[in-house]
Formats: sequence, C-alpha cells, structure tokens
Amino acid sequence: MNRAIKTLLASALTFGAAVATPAQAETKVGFIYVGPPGDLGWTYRHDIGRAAVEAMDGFSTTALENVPEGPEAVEAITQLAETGHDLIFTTSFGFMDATNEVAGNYPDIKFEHATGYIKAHPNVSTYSGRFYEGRVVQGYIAANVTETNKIGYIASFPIPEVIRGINAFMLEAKKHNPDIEVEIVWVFTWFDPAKEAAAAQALIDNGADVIAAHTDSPAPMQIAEAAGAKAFGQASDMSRFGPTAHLVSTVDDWDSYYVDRAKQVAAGTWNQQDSWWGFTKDGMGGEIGMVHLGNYGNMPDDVMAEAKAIEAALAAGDRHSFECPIYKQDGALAEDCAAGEDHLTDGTLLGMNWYIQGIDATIPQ
Amino acid sequence: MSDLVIQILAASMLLATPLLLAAIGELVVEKSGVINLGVEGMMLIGGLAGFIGLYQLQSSTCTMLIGENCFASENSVNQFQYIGSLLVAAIVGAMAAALFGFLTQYFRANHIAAGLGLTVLGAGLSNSLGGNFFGVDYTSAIVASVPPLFPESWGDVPVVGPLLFSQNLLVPFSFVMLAAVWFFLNRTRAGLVVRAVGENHHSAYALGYPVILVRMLTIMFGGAMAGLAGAFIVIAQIAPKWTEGITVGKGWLALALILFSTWRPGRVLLGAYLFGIVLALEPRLKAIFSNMSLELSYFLTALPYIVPVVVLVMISRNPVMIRRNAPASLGQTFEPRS
Amino acid sequence: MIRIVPRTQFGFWATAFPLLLAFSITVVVGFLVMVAMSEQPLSDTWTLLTFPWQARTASVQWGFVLQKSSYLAIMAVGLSIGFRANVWNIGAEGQFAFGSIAAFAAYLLFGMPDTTWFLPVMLLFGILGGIAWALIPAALRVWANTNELLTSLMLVYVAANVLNYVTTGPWKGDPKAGQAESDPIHESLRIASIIERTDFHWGVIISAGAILVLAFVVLFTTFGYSLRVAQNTPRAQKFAGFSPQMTVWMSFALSGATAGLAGAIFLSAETGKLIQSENYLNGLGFTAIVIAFLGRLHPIGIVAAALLISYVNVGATYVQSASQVDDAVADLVQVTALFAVLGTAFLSQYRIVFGKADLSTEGAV
Repeated sequence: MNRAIKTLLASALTFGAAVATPAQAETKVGFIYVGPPGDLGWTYRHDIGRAAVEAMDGFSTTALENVPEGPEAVEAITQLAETGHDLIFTTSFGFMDATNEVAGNYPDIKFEHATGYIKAHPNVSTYSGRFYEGRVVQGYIAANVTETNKIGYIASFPIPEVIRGINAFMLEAKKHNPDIEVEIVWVFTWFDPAKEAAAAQALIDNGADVIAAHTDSPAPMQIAEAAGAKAFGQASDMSRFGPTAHLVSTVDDWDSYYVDRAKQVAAGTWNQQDSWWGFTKDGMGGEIGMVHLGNYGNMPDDVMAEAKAIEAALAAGDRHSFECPIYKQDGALAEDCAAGEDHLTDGTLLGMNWYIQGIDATIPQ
Repeated sequence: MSDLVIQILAASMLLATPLLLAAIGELVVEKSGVINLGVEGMMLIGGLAGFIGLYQLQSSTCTMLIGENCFASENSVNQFQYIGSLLVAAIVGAMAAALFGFLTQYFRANHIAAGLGLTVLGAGLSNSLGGNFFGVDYTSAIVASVPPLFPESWGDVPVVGPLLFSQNLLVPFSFVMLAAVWFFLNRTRAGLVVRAVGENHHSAYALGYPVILVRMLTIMFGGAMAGLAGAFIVIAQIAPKWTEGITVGKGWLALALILFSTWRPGRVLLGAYLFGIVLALEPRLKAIFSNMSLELSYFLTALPYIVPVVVLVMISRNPVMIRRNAPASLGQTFEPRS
Repeated sequence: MIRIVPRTQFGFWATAFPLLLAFSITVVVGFLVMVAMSEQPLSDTWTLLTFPWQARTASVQWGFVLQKSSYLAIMAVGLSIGFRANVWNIGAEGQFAFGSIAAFAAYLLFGMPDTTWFLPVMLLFGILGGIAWALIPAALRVWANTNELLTSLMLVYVAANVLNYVTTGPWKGDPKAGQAESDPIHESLRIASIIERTDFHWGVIISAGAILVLAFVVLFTTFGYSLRVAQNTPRAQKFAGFSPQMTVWMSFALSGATAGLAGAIFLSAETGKLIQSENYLNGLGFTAIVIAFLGRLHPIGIVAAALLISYVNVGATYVQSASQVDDAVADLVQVTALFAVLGTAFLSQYRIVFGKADLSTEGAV
C-alpha cells in the first residue's frame, strides 16, 4: 500500500506535468512478479528497476506480485493489457508461454519476457542477464579463500541457466586452484528457506567452507554467517545477512534496460530484440549492463584486487567467461572449441546441459 | 563418524521442532474429536505475529529496514524479548483458531471446509499484513538473531553441547510440552474428559461434560502451538526474517505426522524426529551420492507423505488398535440432541 | 434471551434466509476489507463489481470468469456427491494432477497422434487417471478401514512429486526451458476458444455438460437419492440397495472422474504440456472443496458459487491492475463468503428464538 500511495502521488505529479505540457501522454508500464519484492532477491531487484521507470516524468507503473507461473499468469498479464498498459514486463521463466499467448491478442502492446527464448509475435522481446560472468569472479575468489578446497553449491533446478553458472564458477576456480572440489545439492525449488538452509548446513558439515547458492532466499548466507563459513550473495546485495560471511554478491541490475525500453515505447522506437547483457551492455566496455558485483569484502586485499581486475576484463571484453579449450566431463573437447571458436558460443551456453571436466557429479535428469 | 551423527541430529532438531510443536497442538485438537486443517494458515499468521512482536519489542536497540546494519554484537535480542514475541505468536494463533472454533462449535460448520478456509485466510492475511502493518513493511525488516538459551561457550562441550546447549529455547520447550500433553491426556481427569469428548460426543454430553467448551479450549491450544511453530520457522530456524509463504507446507506435514503417530504423543516425537532426520539427510545424501537417481530423489521427497499412509493402513486393519488410538468422532459436527 | 431450536417446518425461508444473511455479511465485510486495503474504496469497489464493462474487452473478462468457474464447478459437483454421503475426498488436487498425467500418457502411448479426433481419448484417459488415483484412498477405506480424508490429502503431495518426476525425468522436454516441463502436445489436440481471443473454450462446454449429467444423477435417480440419504441415516441407504462400501467406491470414483476430466481439459486447453507441480497445480482442487461448501453441496448452488467466486477473483486482479489494490482482497472476500455460508448454514436446520426457554424443543448452544 505504500507503493499505492507513491503511485498515486507520482500520478498526481505527472498529471501536474501533463497540464504544464499538454502534448505529453503518460506511458503506462506493467510488471508481473513471481514473488514479493520483499524477497530481497530476484523480485526485489525487478522492483528496483520498476522504481527507476516510475521516477521518470511521463511514466507510471503497476506491479502484480506473487503471480503463479504457468497458465494462471495469462489472466494477470491480460488484465494489465486490458487496463491500458503500453509495455509489460513478465519477470520469470514460467511466464513465457502466457506472455506469448497474450501478446498475440494485443498486437498494439509491447511485451518483454525475462529469461525466455520464444518470441512468437513481433511485439515480444526477451531479455536476460549474463549472470555467469558474476560466477567467474566468484570462482576466482572461492579458489583463493577456501581452506578446505571444498565448495558447497546449492542449485535449484537442472536447467541451462543454473548449469552454466556452476560451469563458469568451476572453470575459473580450477584455473587458480586445481585441487578445488565442488559438492552440488539440487534442492528442486527456487524458494524454500528451510530446505535451502538445511542444504547449506549439510554442505558445511561435509567440509565446505564457501557456499554458492542459485536459489532465491538469503537462508544460505544466514547459515554461512552462523557457521563461520563464507558465501556469495545471489540476485541482490546480501551482505547484511552475513556481515562476516559475505564475499561478494552478483546483483541483477535491470534499471537501465527497463528505462531504455520504456523510453523507446514512449518515443515509438521500440523494436523486437533478444537482449543478453553482462557486466556491460555490449560486453565490450560499453554502457552498464544487467549484472554487477556488489560489496566485495571478507577477503585478502590482493584477492579482491585481482577479482576486480577479472570483473573489469570481462566488462571490457578483454576476455570471455568460457574461453577455449574447454573439456567436457568425459574429457572430450567442447564442440565449439573443436570447431575453432575462441570461446563457447551463445547458442551452446543457452542450451548447456553438461558439466565441464573436473566436476565430479551427474546432472539429475 | 560420531561427528556426522551429531551434525545430522542437530540439523534434524531444527527441522523437527516446528513439526513437533504444531503436531502436539493438533494432536490434542484431534483427540477431542475435531480436525482442523488450518494448521498451515495458523502457522503463517502466528509466525508473522511473532516476528512483528520481536521487531517491536527490540526496536529500541536494533531494527533495520533496507540499508542499515544490525549485526553489531550489542544489538542481539535477549531471551525476554524473544519470549514476549512467542507469547504474541501463541495468542494470535489461538485467536485465529478461535475463529475456526466458533464456526465449527457454535455455528456447527463443517470442520473440513472451515479448516481449509482458515488456511486461505491465514495465507491471505499474512501476505497483506506482512507488506504493511501500521505503516511498516515487514518483508524488508530484519532483526538480529536470537541467541541460544545457554552461554555460547557451552556449545563446545562434546555431544550435549551442539545437541542441547546450542539450541533455541523452543527446542527444550517442545519436549516439555510433549511430556505435559502426554501426562494431561493419560493421567489427568481433564485429559480423560478430552478423550471422552473425542470418542463419543453424545455420551460425553449426556454425562454432563461441556463438549463445546472443551473443544473450544483444545482448538485454541492447537492454534497457540501452531502459532509457536510458525514463530520458530520465522524467527529461530534460520535467522529472523518474515517472507510470504515461508512455511512452505510444513502445516500439512504436521498433519501427516499425527497420522504417522496414530494419535500417540510418544510416536509424535518419534515421527517428528524421523521426518527431521529424513529432511536433514536428504541434502547430505545428495551431496555424497551426486549420481543419485531421480526416482530415488523424488521418492525421498514424497516419503514423509507415503509413510503415514502405510502406517495408518497397518493400524487401521486391526479394529482393536484403531479403536484404541483414533478418536471415534473425529471430524464430526456435534449437534446436541435433546 | 436468544436460543436456538430445531426447525420443525422447512419452507422456502429455511433455505433462503441463511443465504441472504450470508450474502449480506459478505457484502458488508467485503466492503470493510476494501476500505482497509484501498485508497479509494468506493471507486475500487465499483470497479470490482462492474469490471467487465470497464475493461477494454468485456468478452475477455467473461471468458476468464467462465473458464475459472468451469474447473471449480465440475470438481466441486463431483466432490459434493461424496460429501453428502460423509465420504471425504479432499485430494481432488492430486486426482486433477493424475488426470493430466494420464491424458499425456495416452498421447505418448498412442504415438502422439496429430488429429483432433484423438482428443476424446485423452479426456477419457484423464477421467480414468483421476479415478485410478481416487480409488487408492477408497480401497484403503473399504479394505483396511483407513480414514479416507487423511489418506486422500497425503496422496496430493505424492501426486505432485510424480508430476515433478515425469517432467524432470522420462518426459522432460526442451532442455533450454527454465522449468521442468514436457514437450507440448500437437496443436490439433489443444482445445480451442469458442470466442476468439478469450479463454471461453470448448472445455467449458464439456464441463457444463458433465455437470448437467451429474446433477441429473444426484437429483433424479435412485442412486443419487441413496447417496443423499446416506448422510444422516446409513440404514435407510441399505433399503435403497446400496452398501456403505459401494457408497465409498462410487463417491471416490465420481469425484476422481470429475477431477481427472478437469485435469485433462486443463492440459489440453491451458498449458498444452505438463509442467513441474509448483507451476502447474495452483490449488484448484482445494478451492473446489470451498466451492462445494459455498454451494451447500447442491449442484445449482455450486455453479452459482463458482461463478460468483470466479467473478470476484477475476475482478480483484483487474482492480489490482487498474489501481494497485492488494490482491489479497480476492482471498479475503472468498473466505468471508465461505465463513458466512458455513456460519449461517445451521439456520436452515435450526431457528433463532427470542424469549423464554421451552424445554421440550431446546437445543443447547
């Protein structure tokens, strides 16, 4: 309801602006969230992006929270379309089919789906972050701060997004510390604090002293803090859940993308895209991207300096996260590398369903 | 090796305690012949109330919304503030249960429907109040952790250190409550009345026992215990943080537990810890046996729901055993005959 | 002094008075909920009540209402048959899941036929799947005297795990997907919309037909009569030629069949594929129980209740999209309605008397 008040105030203000410059019509931007902004993770970061749009003159925003993934999302997305929104962001993979279905019914409205790959209509775009770039830096840090040489990795579902993260992490970690091992626990949920905490505790009990999580709650960070281990934050800056445990957080950063796209709709220049931004928009040191690293800490200064150097190199495009040669678990050279590429192609990364050499585990499927 | 056993036991205590607390309450409720399917809802609303209580009680020393730091050691919560918040959770849980009680006892509503309604109510109300209760968004509020009951150095004592001294207040409380409930049901006159009411409410009524009053009291006790279970999940299981839907089905698991226990307090304890150990073992097994088959993995997840059915089938086949354990008028609406 | 005494005469008002009272309570409490949650309660309530006429496309709104209520009504009518006979199947959610799984299994079993003619086979398998899953608690009840309420509830969670297993394992579809899901069924097997761009599809008509058949059975056949009398007088039921065991079998078979049919329609009309349980099962089977009681276990009442609750639900999402009101409004109104109906139902059996006690008819409260 705080938000409702803000929305009202904002719309009152923009109404005032509209009176001053009558030519300007307000652009309405809608958001579909899978969780509550209070998750302080995935949805929270999208809500920060929404606030950035809301703050601009001539734009108003609406967010529907806790929308179930799957077919029920059709109704929520349709209602945003039915209430005059010009641009609608659907911010979880499970909204992909629903987004495309609704987009077909409302060709005059622009739709943007996060983390998906199907664009069935010209008014649908997809976007996502190259979060694995953050995992590279995490892998470097882990390799240098671990004393037990054992990393605990809490994984949600065996999908390319998660597997890509594990591979990026271990590829870099092995470069700097060949003895490092990873134990992976698949929890088969994005959000279950008790389950995530139990997994973190189990990994720490098994000897892991650095925890990486690819789930939504800060529970693993909180457990690491209590157990005296180290951990990486996921989706948002989680340093306040682990003042002495927190190494660095991979922070999703949707602000510039949302602002760009909203402005394009207002100006009539919106076009269909498939955006995949890393630390920078173009991966070549250009504008700010969709991922950044937040709050380095709890590590030696030289490790932090080198980690930041890796971050800068990835941002500037001086190196790639998956540079050849890369060997698969069975020892075979990855196809892209065999074909003479410098690094794995985006197509390979998007469908990644195999581990790199050095990960002693099987993907459950 | 013994380290591993202690680690697993310590982890299972954290996972078992909320199940045990909620199940103790629901056990008494069902012993009096009422089935309240609203455990999940009462846990959510009690858990939120406990969190709000804790936030308010210690806001003078340390609370934080996004942006401030709250982990300096002088900011920790003390046991009295914690107990205060638990009281709030218990009272609010009991109030939510009382709504169910009024509907089913005085207005003779169907238990199943009213219980499911209570689940929807608890989830809806906690979602919306957690986002804004008198101007505070509790989803983004953080409170410092509650310290264990005993001095931290005691935690280093072998075996009993991690198992007893490092545990949260509610862990020993759950054992005490279980013993108290066993004693109450089996060794006191009032407990006999509760069982008589659950066995045959018409006979109990004819004998002059206040059936409706007894059931209102057991229902509210059940709500208070569910509220405590919710507060444990929100405040103590990891670190204090309110998140919408944080119980993720533990209320239903508590109901499964009652079935598993065949309405016996001792077996509630056994069952809660068996469930706890399974939940604590699962990630460990997955970490060690990284090539565990999907079938086994999902079977383990479903196990806490399959085992109670098997146990129930085994005892139900024997008419003597089921009669000795299951309350005969479970779930039936009481309409006094004149 | 207020006393409650059993009714001796059951006229029109015995049924109408409690419903009117419940309706009034819901309206009053519902408005209070709006006042608490909305910045502009009057206009938002007005929007909630009249949203189909305010939206961009009225037919879309009515489509949602009909679609939602068809799933709820068909399952609730099935459940109400058992509830009337004191047979407690509260596992419709699991039977719904199995209906979907069985329909999809049929699709695979018959070699993925690409013809609409196969659709009836899928629906039939859905019905059989629902029945099969429902007969487990029925068998345990008949053969082992197990409390069917508790076992049917537990089996919901087992069914959800089966759904997760088949979508992650044997029937896993596109490896790029960010959720566990199967491959989609052929477009020819998707139930089509009756009105273009709306969710009013042929599945709604199929459900309505099934409801009519069931209503006829319940209200006008000996079998239905015997189930109705079973509630209060098991002996009378025996005279009608039905054993208590038969009542259990039939109640579970019918409620399992309706839930399975709903699951198969859902698969064909809404998703076109199986998805992991969190994103596929949204509690329709549990809401159906609420609807059954809201409709006082009578087919006409159930259809009315399903329509009303769906209307409020769709309207709440609409209001939320239009003016950011918390969508808990829908849940709270639904619970208020349920509690009001439950709390006043006894007034059809009893009446409130003001005045001195008449010992001969008094019922203690």
